[in-house]
Formats: sequence, C-alpha cells, structure tokens
Amino acid sequence: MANEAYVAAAGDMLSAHVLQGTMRMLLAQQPFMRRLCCFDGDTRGTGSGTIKVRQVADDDIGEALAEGAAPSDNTAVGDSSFTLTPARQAVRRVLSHRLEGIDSSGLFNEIALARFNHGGVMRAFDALVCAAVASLTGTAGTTTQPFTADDWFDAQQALQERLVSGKKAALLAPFQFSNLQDDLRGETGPWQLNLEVQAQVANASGENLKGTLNGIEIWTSTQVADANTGDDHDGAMFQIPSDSTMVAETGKSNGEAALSYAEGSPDPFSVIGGAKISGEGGVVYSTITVDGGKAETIIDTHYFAAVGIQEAGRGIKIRTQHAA
Amino acid sequence: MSYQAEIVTGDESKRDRAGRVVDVPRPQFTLFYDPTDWQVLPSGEIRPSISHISMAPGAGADPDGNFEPERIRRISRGMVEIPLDVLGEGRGYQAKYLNRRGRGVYRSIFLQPYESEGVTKWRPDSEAIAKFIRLLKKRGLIKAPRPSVVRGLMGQVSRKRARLGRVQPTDRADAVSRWREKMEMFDRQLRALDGELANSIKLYGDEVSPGRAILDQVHEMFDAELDEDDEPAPAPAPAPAAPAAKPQTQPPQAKK
Repeated sequence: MANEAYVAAAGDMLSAHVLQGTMRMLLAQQPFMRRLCCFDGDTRGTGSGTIKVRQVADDDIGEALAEGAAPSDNTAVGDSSFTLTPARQAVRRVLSHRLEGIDSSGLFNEIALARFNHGGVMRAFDALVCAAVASLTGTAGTTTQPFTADDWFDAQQALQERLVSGKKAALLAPFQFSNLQDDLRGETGPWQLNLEVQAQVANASGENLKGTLNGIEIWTSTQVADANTGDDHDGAMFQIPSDSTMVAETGKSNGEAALSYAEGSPDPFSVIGGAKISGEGGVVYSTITVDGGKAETIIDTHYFAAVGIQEAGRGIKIRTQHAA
Repeated sequence: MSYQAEIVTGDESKRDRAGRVVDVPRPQFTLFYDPTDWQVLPSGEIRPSISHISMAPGAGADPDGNFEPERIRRISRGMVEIPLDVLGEGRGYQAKYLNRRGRGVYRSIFLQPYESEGVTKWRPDSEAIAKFIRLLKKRGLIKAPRPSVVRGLMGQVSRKRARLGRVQPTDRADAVSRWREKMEMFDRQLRALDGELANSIKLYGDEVSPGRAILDQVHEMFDAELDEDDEPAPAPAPAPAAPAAKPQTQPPQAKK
C-alpha cells in the first residue's frame, strides 16, 4: 500500500522539520468543482439511496384569440427527471504508532491525516465532474487540432443559440488552455484590446481559476478526461449555478445548471465500533480504527457523492488536441 | 508436510517505483458514441465523437459498482458501445498503469507515456487511432452517418466559415496566413462532406422532410404555369450611386 505513514518513509520530513523548522506543500491540484454544480439533495434520512429530481418545462406560448374563441385544450406540462445515486469515494492512510510517538512536526496524527484525506475525496469528486461532461450535448472544437479563440466563440455561441443564459464556465485541460493563450496572442482586431483577453494571455489568475473570457469563467484541471480514444481532451463549456443561489452556510448552490450532484451524509452519532470524525459541513467523515497486532492506526475518509447531468443542452463538449 | 520457501533477495521493504507513472488515478472506462454526433477532421475525414464513459461508482456505475443500468440507459438512447474486448480476447483498448501511490491509471492503449521534466506525459498515436476507427467501420460497429447528420455537419462548417469570413485580419502577415489556412481547411471539409452526403444518400436514401415535399410540389406548379414566353422577373434595381462629393470650400474669413 502506498499511503502508510511509517518512520522510514517519513524520515526526510522529520529531519527537515527538526533541522529547518519549515515544511512546504508539494504541488497538487486543489479541489474546486463543487461550485460548478447544482446541489440537488442529500439521501440522509430519506429512506432511499437515490435522489430523483423532477424537471418541468415552462415553455408554453399563449394564443392570440378572436372574440368567443376558446384556447386550445390543456396539454400536459412537459416534464422529465434525472436520478443521482451517491456512491462512496474514499481514501485510506495508515499511521504507525512508532511514528506517531516520535513525531515532532504535528503532521503525523489522526486529525492531520484525516485533513489530508479530505482533500483526496474532494479530488475524487472532481473526477466525477470531469467524467460527467462527456454526456453534454454537441461538440465544439476540431478533433486533433489545438483549441482556438474561434472554437471558444463556437462553444459560446452554440450555448447562446440554445438560450442558455446565466453564469457559465469552461472546464479545460491545462493543454487546452495553453493552446487558447497561444491563439489569443495572435488575435488581431478590437478583441485583442479587451482587458479580459490581455489577462488570459498574461495568465493573471490563480491555481485552477484562470479568470474570465467574454464573461465566462475558465477553470483548468489535470483530471479532465480523454476523448476520441486519446486523440483529444474532453473539456466543456456549460452553465453553472449563479452566485445568488448559493446558501451561505453550506457554500452549496441550488439553481439551474448543466451538472448536478447529490450527497449522502453519514449518521453523525456513532456508538459502535471506532470513532468518527466529521469534516466541515458534516458530509465528509473519517473513521479511525486501530490494528493492535501491527501497531497501526487506520484512517479511512469517506464521502458519498454522485455527479450527473441536470440538462445536457446547457453545456457543450470541447474536444480538441491532446497534449503530446 | 512439506514447506515451500521463497528465496528473497534484496530489500523487499523498499517499494518498487519503477514503471509507475506520475499521474492522477483515472477510473476504468468504456467507449460509446452517439450516431448523431460526429466531428470533421481538418483533412475532411469525418468520425463519430467517441466518449470515454467512466465506470466509477458515482459516475457511471451505481454504488455496488454495477455499470449495467448506465449501459442500458445509454443504449436505449441510441448510443453505441464499443466493447472493451473489441480487439479480441484479452485485447482491449484500455491499459492500466500504476501511479506513485499504487493507484490505477486507466488510459487508452493509444496514449503512450513518456517522462518529461519529472512528470509523465502522454502522447497519442494518431495513426493507430485512425486505423482503429477504420477497423470499427469495416466491422460495422461504426456505421456511416445518415444524410441528416452530414447536412448538420455541413451547416456547422458553413457557419464557422461564414463567421471567420467576417473577421478577416488585414494587418499582420502571419495572422492573414493563418486565416487563409483555416478558410482552406473549411473549404476542404465542405468538399469532403459533399462526397460523404452523396454516399450517405446512396446508402440510406434521401431523407425528405414534409416541408421539402410541399416545396417540390410548388416548384412543379411554377414550372407548369410559367413558360419561356413569360417575362422573367425584373432584375433587382442597382444600388443608387453615391452622391458626388461637394467641392471643398474655404470657411468664411472672420471679419476684422
């Protein structure tokens, strides 16, 4: 197993802490994709492992009628539904008692390792989001060709023409974003002077959020899936929940979006077996069990989640050249 | 009782990192394509847009790891699965690697890993992918697109061409040359799609929409009533000439 915390493996970290007193985090993608999806429910206490969301179509147009004429007979309100079945995403770390005893860095205890695990299960959630975009409607970009500003406009205009309004985001592989930057450098005409375009060329923003272009957020992730048997990256542009639908306490958004997710919160009380630690919001939790024979503590972190398509037409795939 | 002893050499406690990739774990996947969703390559060849559908619980599979409901749902919507063992017994299009933490990284066999700057990069073998697609077409797993799909693609390419035509760059030579290459690519794609449409009509017969049928009847009526002796429709009036520029006059001198 690769997640054991043993003295031998932790030797470098311990001596770094003792000798230098500093510790730096290695490069790792920070999880972020829950904000790109609408939260559609928690299965706790519902009696079912599945969340089913009904959708209705409010698209009837009234008729212009002459005096004495009655409107057409009532037709059924268009409806559909989608289901989400949260499944377990988990990470395990094993901590040797010997290391825990001698540790001076504060990193080798159950709570600290549970926090590391929390990041791990959130990254597993991000992988679910990257997998889900493969089911969006239509494809922008040219297979085996770099992602260009023209493709960006194609995707944006496709969504406009489908009447997809509100906040949108593009989820791209880092290589797709690099291609877009290269193409923006070659743009001529008034658009090149747009401040957003200049910011994109300058790569002005942070880790995963690269900024906005034409008002659309750009996010990059190394977990973006492949497409076309490996010829392309499987990015996407899609509607995300607007900020006004976010619940301040939970940070979860509830509104129209292309993608939805559901969770399964654990029972907060545990009277049998090992201890449980709940993470923020009480959705991610860790269990701690001790293997007395091996003198190890096992920290398992769990998160029940599912991601699915709320409405495929609210997004479009962006399939362009894979990094080589 | 006999005992079996295994001769151990070297330090078995050291983890074997050789042959491991530096990549995030990626779940098992299966390939699906939608017969109505195709893409055009720059050469004009058209291919279905093939999706890698994750088989991870919470994505494609249910909490018990069962992918069957998702498979049935997709097939019932008209999608076509490319089976995992399409290349023969024990020969699939999916390869499993291990990353540094011992987690599985499932990727297409057409993506070859190589080390660069301390990380693993993946290079697609486009020639092998092209052969794979041709093989699937030959075996009938990928069927030729219907005329409506080809017409849809022609519409997409025509719109892209028209849009790009409106933003022709005029200043930088490299921008102009890139623009021309793209326009030539669109023209090439449209020519290829013309040929593809003819093949598709031969295969499936033309798809006549109800609107088309009515319009054909109207054409017949026009052809029957209007003959060569009738006056042709007047040509549209030429655009009015721009007014002659007035001669420049000196502004009146201010009186002193």
